[in-house]
Amino acid sequence: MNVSFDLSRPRVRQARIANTLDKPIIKSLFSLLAVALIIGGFGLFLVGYSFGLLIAAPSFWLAMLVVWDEKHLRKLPIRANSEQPEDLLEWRILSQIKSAQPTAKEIWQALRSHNQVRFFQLRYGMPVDLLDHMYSIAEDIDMDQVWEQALAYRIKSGTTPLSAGSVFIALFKNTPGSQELMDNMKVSIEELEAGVDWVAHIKRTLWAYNNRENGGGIARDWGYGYTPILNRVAHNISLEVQASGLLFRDIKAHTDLLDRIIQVLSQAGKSNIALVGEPGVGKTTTVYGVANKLIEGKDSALQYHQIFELNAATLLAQARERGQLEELILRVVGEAHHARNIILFLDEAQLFLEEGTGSVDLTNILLPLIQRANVRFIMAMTPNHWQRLTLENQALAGVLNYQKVPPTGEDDTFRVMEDQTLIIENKYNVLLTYQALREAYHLADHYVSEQAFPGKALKILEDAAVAAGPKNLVTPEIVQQTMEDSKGIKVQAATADEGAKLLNLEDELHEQMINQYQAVKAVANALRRARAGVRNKERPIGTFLFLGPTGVGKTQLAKALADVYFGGKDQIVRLDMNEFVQSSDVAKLVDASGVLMSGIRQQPFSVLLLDEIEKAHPDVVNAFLQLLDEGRMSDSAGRVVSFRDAIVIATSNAGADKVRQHIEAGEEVEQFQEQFLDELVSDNLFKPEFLNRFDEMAVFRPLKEEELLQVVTLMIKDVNKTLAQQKISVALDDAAKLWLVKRGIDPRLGARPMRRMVTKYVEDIVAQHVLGGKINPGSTLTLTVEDFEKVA
Amino acid sequence: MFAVYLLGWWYGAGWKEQFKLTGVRVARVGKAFSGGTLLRTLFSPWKQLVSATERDAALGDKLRAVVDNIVSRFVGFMVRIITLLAACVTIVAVLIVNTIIIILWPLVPLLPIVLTGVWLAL
Repeated sequence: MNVSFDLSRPRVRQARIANTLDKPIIKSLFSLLAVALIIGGFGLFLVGYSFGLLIAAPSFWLAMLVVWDEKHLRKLPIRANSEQPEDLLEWRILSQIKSAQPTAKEIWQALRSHNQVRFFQLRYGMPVDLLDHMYSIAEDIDMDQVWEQALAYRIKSGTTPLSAGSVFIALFKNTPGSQELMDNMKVSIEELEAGVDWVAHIKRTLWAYNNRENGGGIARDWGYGYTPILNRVAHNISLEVQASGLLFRDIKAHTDLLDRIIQVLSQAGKSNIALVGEPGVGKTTTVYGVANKLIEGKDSALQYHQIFELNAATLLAQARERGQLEELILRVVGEAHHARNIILFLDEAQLFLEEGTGSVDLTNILLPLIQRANVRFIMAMTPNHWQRLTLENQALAGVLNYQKVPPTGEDDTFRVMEDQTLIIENKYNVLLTYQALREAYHLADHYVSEQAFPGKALKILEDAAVAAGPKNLVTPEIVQQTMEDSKGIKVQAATADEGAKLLNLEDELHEQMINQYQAVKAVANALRRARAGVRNKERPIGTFLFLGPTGVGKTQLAKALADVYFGGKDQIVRLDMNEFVQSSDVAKLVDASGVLMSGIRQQPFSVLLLDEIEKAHPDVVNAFLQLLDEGRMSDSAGRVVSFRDAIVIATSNAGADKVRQHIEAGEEVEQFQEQFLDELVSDNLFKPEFLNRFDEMAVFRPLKEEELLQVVTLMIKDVNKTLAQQKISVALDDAAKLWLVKRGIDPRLGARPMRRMVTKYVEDIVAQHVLGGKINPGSTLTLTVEDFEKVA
Repeated sequence: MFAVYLLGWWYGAGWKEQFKLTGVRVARVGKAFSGGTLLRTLFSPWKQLVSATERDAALGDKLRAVVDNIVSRFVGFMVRIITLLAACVTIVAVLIVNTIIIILWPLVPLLPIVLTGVWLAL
């Protein structure tokens, strides 16, 4: 393709005239002058001055110019069957082309202040200043290829003239250095190309909105009855759609569904619909789409029918007693029947079909009304409620026509988000970047399981818009922050402070526990991988099996991790597996309101501690396989719960005696760990498929005397934390610590007896001093062996 | 060149558009007055204000219902026929105005010359 502009062509010249006239001051001046000349000229003529005619004469030519500009130049027609840019290019750009073969720099100058380029600047963060520099030095850009690509974008996006957006992205794509710029902007060329479609769609949407028809005219409803009760107790969706328009993206899945719904509603007989879909799929929006189609009046059977939404809470508020409610429903349905153009919509239909708080069982009233086919109903509900309805009320389910509303796929979700962006921006006075939309999609996909697309992504976007801050710009970082605040998870890149903390995580953990370097390192590495973004996001952050005798720090490490990294000791979901010894306990495990499922749903960013896993029933252990493998599990309500932001730590005392024997024989853990794990399998304590699912298995060794001394020091630190409120502290000399260790040491129980020793000898003595008034705020009580011996 | 483009459009696409606009405006008036709906429902009851009786109702009740329905349909017919007449009047007005525009349209570029000629003659 060899592109050359013939600048003498009428279209080019007319574009330049349009550009000259495209200044508000010139247009206003011409219009004012035309009016002034015509009024003044004829006025003078009427009062006897014949030269008034001469003054009025040019006003007609001025008026012609204004009309020509408005009706022709602003919409400079294209030659649709041509392939030459000069025949297709939008007039604003065409008017600024000065040479037959414009350079990249010239095209950029023509584009840079165009609205569509501004769109890319704002939405994608396209740095215009940098582009100025790039195009001032760019020389080797193949402009023929640029035009060829721009024409291809035009066809793909369905735009009539060759738009500034198409030319800009084609030019940018062929500009040296554009890839680096895109890397910095964190977008791909495909995403920028999608932006061309987006901006074209916005243009079409605004045109459709401004040119929407006021459906029906003045006599539209004269043939239908009055609806005073419905107007009072129900919401007229059709009226709302008619007044404010509707952004309903014309994606195939949506339009097919609308067609099916209207077809069902049009047919005689079973013309009621159960709209079934997960929360967030857009059931209510679909009904708005139906209302919009009916109000357009294109379907003859349902022309100008109106959809009224009944709200359970409003109805309950209107009818204080049971009998009144039934009477009200009968009157509402009677009125709808009598009016002959009403479709009743029950959103969250279960509120009308089940007894409960805020809901009422009206099936006995509704069923005969629906069966008589007096009024058309649309009922929206989730698959669970539909399933329950089919089981518990087959008669009602039988008269409803099941229509599934599926969640949107990735592409369609983006299209819906693009549309809703306009509404969110208008509502919250913010600007959403494309990268924010993409982040919302990915976060919704990864972290939100209780809702479906597109609703869950839109919810995140809307929350981010609320939290946008003074700049009114919603960036991916704001979306991440919103998600972190609402879900209690970490999705943003680690800050410098956090990075330093992660690099020294082992030291911090060792402030709360002694030894066990292998396990501490494994856990710290897992967290570093997670926060550096190099972990597998389809699994938990880390899965660990801690083995070893009791009282050696297995549980303590989980607690320390929750405290140091997850933000507090309460960031731990702990399951004592000795409560799951029956096969039937699997049900307890997956119970939607149980410790595991509700705990992780409430705080997904936490430590999941499965204490003493060897005591669980094999079926319970098997239930964890999927969790360890994929980081997700379905609860009893069928909802998927994600464990992908948790660290799973299972502890076990299995084979503790063997560990002790090895250590007593003078072996180090590294020397016998492999053999020990093999023995766990051969002794049938664990199945290999269970062990293989852990990222790391660490054997904790029994603590030596000097390590127990350090444990005592940590425990005294804890006691002092408690005493800090009373401004007193306690200290032990080395001999006292050693005395406690010697008294409390028990190779089978590890550090556990130390807790009892500290309680009995330290805390009790401190309590006596406090109650006896022997210690004043600000002082330190130093305990010695003599003090302990008095108590012993 | 500028004048050529302007006059070319004025006597070409611009004038043609005035014919098209006449049709658009007439259609718009028809829609605003719900022309199609009015014709289709000309004899329908007004706002569905009808009386219904049971199959075994007394003859007097049945007669009263028939009279009620006839009255409702008559009211509906009257309101609709008046509206249709108003629509017709408006459409005629639109047609007259647009015909004047179409006739005057080609004369507009000549008006300054005509006015100058009149001034000279005076």
